[in-house]
Amino acid sequence: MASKIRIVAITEFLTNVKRKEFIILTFLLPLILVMSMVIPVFFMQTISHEKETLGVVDETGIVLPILKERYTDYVIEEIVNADEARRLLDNNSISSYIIIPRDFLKIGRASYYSKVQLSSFSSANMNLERILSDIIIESLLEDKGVSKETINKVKNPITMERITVTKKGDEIETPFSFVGNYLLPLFLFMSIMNAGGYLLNGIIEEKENKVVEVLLSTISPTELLSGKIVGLGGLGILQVGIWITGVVIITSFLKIPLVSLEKGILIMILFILGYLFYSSIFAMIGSISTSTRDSQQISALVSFIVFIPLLLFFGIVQNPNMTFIRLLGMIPPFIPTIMIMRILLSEVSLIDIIISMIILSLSVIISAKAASKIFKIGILMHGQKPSFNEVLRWVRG
Amino acid sequence: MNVIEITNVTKKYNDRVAVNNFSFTAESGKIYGFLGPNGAGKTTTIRMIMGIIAPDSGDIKVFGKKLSEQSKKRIGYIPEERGLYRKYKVSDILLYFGKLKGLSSEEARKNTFIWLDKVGLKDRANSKVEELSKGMQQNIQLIVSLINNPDLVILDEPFVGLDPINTRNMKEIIYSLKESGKTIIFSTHQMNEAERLCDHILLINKGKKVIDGPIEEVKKKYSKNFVSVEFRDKIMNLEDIDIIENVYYEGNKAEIELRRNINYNDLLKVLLQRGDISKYEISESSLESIFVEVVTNGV
Repeated sequence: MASKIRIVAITEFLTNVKRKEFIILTFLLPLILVMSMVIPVFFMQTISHEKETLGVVDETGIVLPILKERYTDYVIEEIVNADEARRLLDNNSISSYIIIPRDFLKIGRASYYSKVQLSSFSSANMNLERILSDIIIESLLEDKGVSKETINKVKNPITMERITVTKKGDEIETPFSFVGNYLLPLFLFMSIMNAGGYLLNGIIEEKENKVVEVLLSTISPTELLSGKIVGLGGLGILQVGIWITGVVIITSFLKIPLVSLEKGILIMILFILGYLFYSSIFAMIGSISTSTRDSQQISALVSFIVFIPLLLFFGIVQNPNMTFIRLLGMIPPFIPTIMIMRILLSEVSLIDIIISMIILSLSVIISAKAASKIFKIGILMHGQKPSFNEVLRWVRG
Repeated sequence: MNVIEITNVTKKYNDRVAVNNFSFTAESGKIYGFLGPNGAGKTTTIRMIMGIIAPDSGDIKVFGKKLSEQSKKRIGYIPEERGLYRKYKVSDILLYFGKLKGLSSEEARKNTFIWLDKVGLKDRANSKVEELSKGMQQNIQLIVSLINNPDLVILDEPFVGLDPINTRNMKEIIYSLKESGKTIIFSTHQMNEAERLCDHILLINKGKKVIDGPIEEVKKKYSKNFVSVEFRDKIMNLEDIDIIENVYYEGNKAEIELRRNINYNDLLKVLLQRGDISKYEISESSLESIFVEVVTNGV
């Protein structure tokens, strides 16, 4: 590496590594994230001791004792009739009540009353529905003289183990791998955006401070830009390195399998190419912006575009290799995030990896060249922001 | 050897001609002044010498060759649009630029402290730039351009924004640079500074060079010879003296414009025959009046 590029790179790295925002993002953010996952679990376990009361108006006389025995999410209280239940709900003696009509075992219809809008996905609600349906299944089958064993089989007909087939071998999915598959791309994305943001601000700062012309009398614009990109890239790699070390320590402690080395290398290559691509984009934005405020609007838009694949995460989880996702993973701005998610979630075909890497590498070369041209002219501009056509002329010229 | 050779350089911005067929040669060890009104093309010319912008046509040679990374290291430059990293420490900035200009870390450190000492800012090495006064910042700016002991120093509007004390310091530094054999080029629109400092001036107007020569020659060539005379008694008719071009009376004073190439002593001899003189003052026209005349009337 040319010595001037090295000097700029080292200076950029050392200046930014000491920034408060960098230290916060590197150490505090993952901590906050972990806490935000651990605290609710802890909280749920603590508050589950203060159970609320579910009133049950049971006209069948069969359901209530079974509920008392099996339904542990609520304290069950027997109530004589619907009017009384409503009165107790009104004066908040109970938090909700359920009416089991006389013909419940035949038609399977019950009504649940609550002041709080209840999500049908809440585990308490799902448990309740399951217990009630079990009661009906048991009653219907017992009437037909079916054995207890068969009844249990009917209630839980299957158990499914989810196994991901990888080159390393079969792996049983753990809740951690789901969280990891989402968090890893998110964190890599944040690291890229962070380093890109420093690049952007650095360029604008040099413009606003008018230090740029002094710089350009000693160093060429290309060297200056290369030095910045290399230095801040090093910062991103350091950050990701710190996170990975943290993850390796945690996973080895919990004895959870990590991604294979092969996948890890692919992800790192995608991360570096992605960083180079986005840093060129940020360099362009910095070169044509005349003030920090100016640049923030454009960079917010860029961040949003980059964020789109993460919004599609739940779709990608369903089928990481469906055509739509594969095509999306060939569009330059989406390649890094989509491909990292696909590689994490499945065995991506070699052809997809090669094509996307080629497209991304070409995009990096083109955007870096364009950025260098825009940077050369834009960095000396003051006052008026150039028009889009003017910028196009710089790139062609 | 000529330090700078500019041959027929032209630079256009869109349709506006900023520098028009400009040629100029700078010799080693002299102080050159680029003079001209705002927008004359001084900064554009300087930026082209520094390789920051490229000319549309023409040729620029520095130290006898096209500008290269090697020759760049021999030039110290203070641009018109100048500033420093506001949040950085003074010593960090100077070390950074020293290293960028090819000094080793030790050399950069050594020169930083030599120069800070020279401008009386040794105790501010660890201050942030934003904590310094504007004059101090200008001094740091100057050190940045001189830290690697360049042979050619180019200063674009070095006096802008300086108070009288800092202006004097700047002039002293420019003189000391000349004494140590360096070539200095500076641009200014402050004629009085140029008049006192330069060996050689270039007057640029609307992208074109209008005057180029050693300062004494320029003044001789363009100045009109004025003498102001004060008589003890009433003024007599002087129009009949053949070496006088024009006379303006004011009480017992007269402003006399001599014909070209006439010796002031000859006039004094003639005037003494006419009466008692209490004051006789030769007033060469200043660079400023030449500047104004050339720019407004052309030559």
